[in-house]
Amino acid sequence: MSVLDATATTLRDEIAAGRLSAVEACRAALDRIASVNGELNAFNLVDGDRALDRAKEIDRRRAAGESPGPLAGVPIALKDNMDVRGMRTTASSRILEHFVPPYDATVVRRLERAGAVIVGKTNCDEFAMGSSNENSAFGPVHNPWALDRIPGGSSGGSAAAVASRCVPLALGSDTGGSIRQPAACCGVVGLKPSYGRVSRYGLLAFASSLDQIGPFARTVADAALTLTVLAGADPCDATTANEPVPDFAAALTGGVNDIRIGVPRAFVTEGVDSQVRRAYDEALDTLRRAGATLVDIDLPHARYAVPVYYLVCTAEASSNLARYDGVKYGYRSGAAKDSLKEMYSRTRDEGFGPEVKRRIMLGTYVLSAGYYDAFYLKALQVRTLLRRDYDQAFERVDVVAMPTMPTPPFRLGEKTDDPLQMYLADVFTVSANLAGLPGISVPCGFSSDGLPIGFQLMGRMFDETTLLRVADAYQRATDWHTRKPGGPEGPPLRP
Amino acid sequence: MARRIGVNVATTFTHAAAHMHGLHFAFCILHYDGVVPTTLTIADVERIAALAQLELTDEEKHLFTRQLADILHYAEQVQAIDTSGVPATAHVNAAQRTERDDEPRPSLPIEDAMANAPDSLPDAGLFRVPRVIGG
Repeated sequence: MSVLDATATTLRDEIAAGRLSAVEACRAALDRIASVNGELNAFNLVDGDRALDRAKEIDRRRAAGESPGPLAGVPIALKDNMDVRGMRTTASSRILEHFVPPYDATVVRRLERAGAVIVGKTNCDEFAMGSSNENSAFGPVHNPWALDRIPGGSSGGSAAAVASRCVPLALGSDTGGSIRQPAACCGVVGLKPSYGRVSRYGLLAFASSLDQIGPFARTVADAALTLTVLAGADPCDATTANEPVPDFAAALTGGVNDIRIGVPRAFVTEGVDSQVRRAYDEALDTLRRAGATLVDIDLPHARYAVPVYYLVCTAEASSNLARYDGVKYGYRSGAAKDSLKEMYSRTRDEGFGPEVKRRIMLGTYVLSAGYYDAFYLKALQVRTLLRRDYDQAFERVDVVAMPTMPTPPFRLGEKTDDPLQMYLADVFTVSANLAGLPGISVPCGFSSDGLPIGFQLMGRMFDETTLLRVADAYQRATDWHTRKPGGPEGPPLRP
Repeated sequence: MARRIGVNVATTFTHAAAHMHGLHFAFCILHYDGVVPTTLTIADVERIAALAQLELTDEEKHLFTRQLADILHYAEQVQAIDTSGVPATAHVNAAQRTERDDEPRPSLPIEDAMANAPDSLPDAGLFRVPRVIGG
């Protein structure tokens, strides 16, 4: 039993009570990362010296009688698309391989103010574009439950780091499922807050109307604790909402007698693996037995969510990634010295990987004259219809339940030659981003091969309180989230 | 009295797109005939790559021609949906307006902002680039 088997909440309490030091917790995390990262490739960067300095400072403040903060001494990892001043941010891209940000993301300032200890940056799909982590310029992350399987994407390193007990908490970003889907693949909790709940200042932009930062944890209670620290309006991000931030962890009462759960049966049919379907039905049954009421709902436009998502996100990406041009920061091609235009195009061709180029190309196409109305504008109109589907459903229900992913985690390399098949893995997650809704994935079982399966709940805009209460009630009734890769002893990962 | 700056987030993204295609890459705007093709040619991919400032290899051109055609064909299903009178959602918090006084505040020092530039003259506050006109 390692200190890293403790939840973030317990670790915080132990450190606050003086039974464990922040330095001991930090050393345990660094040791664990050193022992498993060779197999997992979950971290792009580990900054042990900085982390230990911060941990010493937490211990010093506690010894001096100062208030240590709600995450004091808890080791945390950040997806490598969030800026920490002086610590490299690469977005797992060659074009930013040596970029050292001159400022902190708002989430970083909030985490460190709360006493969290950042240990490093996690591997991800390049610029958060992918569903399998295979688009990283630094190689794929391996799933801790089966090293030949994808960890999910795009925040695969964060999910694998939490699942393998390197850290009790990690941050990811979710544009179309990039927190919830890897959480499902790695058997951990992943929360995408409502759009505008958490500041995006210092998050590298992929699709600005969809991107949202959120936590990975092993329990819903830890995710709730972290969200309370991260959430709130920020003058540096005009899209953050002026919504009150409750103590999300305090609202986890365990009761769901008053809860009505929407079940979109017609949508959860074709293409869903039978084992995923069974786990989903059992999770619904567990919540029904706990006191919730199941209500059939219809989401007639949900089947268009994937095409709408890939038209919208690529359009926004083509605009956002125009800034990587070899002038202000990042890689510049040495091959083109004679003209600016050639320098731009050579830099971008050498610096970006295939999926990023594919999405820039698709986004440029759908925004170009003659195709704008037929693709981009049309997608924005269908996005409105999809939002209306959810508005109508939430008049009758408190949360909507779906699988997180239609299949268990597939094999590395299985879908890399067919981007469209890869995109279809996002069928159940992209709706929440298009509609701005909060969503969470919790572990709900395992396939016959021992691969994790996730159960997804979506809530009303800014009603994370109800969403977290239902997800927490599910964890109180089940023990899937207590299992760990490699069996009760944890390491080694290989059987 | 300080001027008020208004940020209407509903229009941010169409403006961002206009920035890329209308200003930053103004020299390579193309006009299509408005008919959406079911197939994509290598020439189409070359035109899109020029718009996006990407210099693709021949292998990439062939690969993207096939893959983008597949994806666009799949995405065409949205065109069958009746959206007459339906407004566009470019952004879910579009009703929110954020205003502040236009007053100077401390910001990133120039040397920090330029520290990552591949080629710059920080003392002069300049980024150095290859020849802009001709070539």
